[in-house]
Amino acid sequence: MRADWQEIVKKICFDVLEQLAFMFCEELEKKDVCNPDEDFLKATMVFSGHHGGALDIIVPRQLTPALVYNILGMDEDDIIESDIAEDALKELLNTLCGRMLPALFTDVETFDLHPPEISSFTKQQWLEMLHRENTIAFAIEDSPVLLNVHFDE
Amino acid sequence: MAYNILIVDDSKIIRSVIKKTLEISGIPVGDIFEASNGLEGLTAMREHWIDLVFADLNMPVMNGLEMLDMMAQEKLIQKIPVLICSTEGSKTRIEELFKKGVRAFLRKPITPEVLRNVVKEVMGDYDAS
Repeated sequence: MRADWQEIVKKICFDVLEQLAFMFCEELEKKDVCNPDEDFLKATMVFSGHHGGALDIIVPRQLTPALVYNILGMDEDDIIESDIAEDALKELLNTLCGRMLPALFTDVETFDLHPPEISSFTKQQWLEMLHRENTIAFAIEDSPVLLNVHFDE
Repeated sequence: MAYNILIVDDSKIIRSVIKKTLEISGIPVGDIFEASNGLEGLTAMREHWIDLVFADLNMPVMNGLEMLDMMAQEKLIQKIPVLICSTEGSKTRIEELFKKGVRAFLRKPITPEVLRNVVKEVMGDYDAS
């Protein structure tokens, strides 16, 4: 991914997390990302149309309740339904993708966003993803988050 | 007058966000109904008095555009104002929505201020007759 696109994607991601979830992101150099001993969730959104590709976000599973509490303005003592945490991650990805594509191309081009899919992600997969060229690393509330964008040839 | 509002979105968390935002926005709200796709939305419109619809575009079973097309064919529900809340960023697609009679487009993430202003703008000139 072009360097200027990486900057655009990063800015959109930070802005969306702030607006949607009142969460502030801290940029991380890949070499400074510590190896977390955690269980991860990956959300993927495939897009097609003017240009095809996919956007992935990988977060520690333990971060998703905080995402829900922040989006809904709930107290941490409130009980959340189990499916809503994954729903929050999907909605975050949906918003990111919807903001990213017109920013990278133009707002005249049309894209079809496919329903986001959630899967578990192992530590090994996480390490591989961290070192991919198209991956951006940042921290939310001290938890490492990876964002990967790839476009079809 | 309190407005009965229908929220059509497949995301439970977005339905909750819109509900919560409406509650704190100062808009007089009566009953709030929820649907997770366009088909459920149409059923709710046929069964209840609805003053305003918030709808997403990308939904399973029946998407927002299909729901708008179905509404246009039914006399009893074709005049209900629809506000689209979506991540759609294409001007081309947004223009198509307005041609289909959509009253406003809110780009996610939505803020309480924007939502309140748009509802006031839309309902201010809405004739329930």
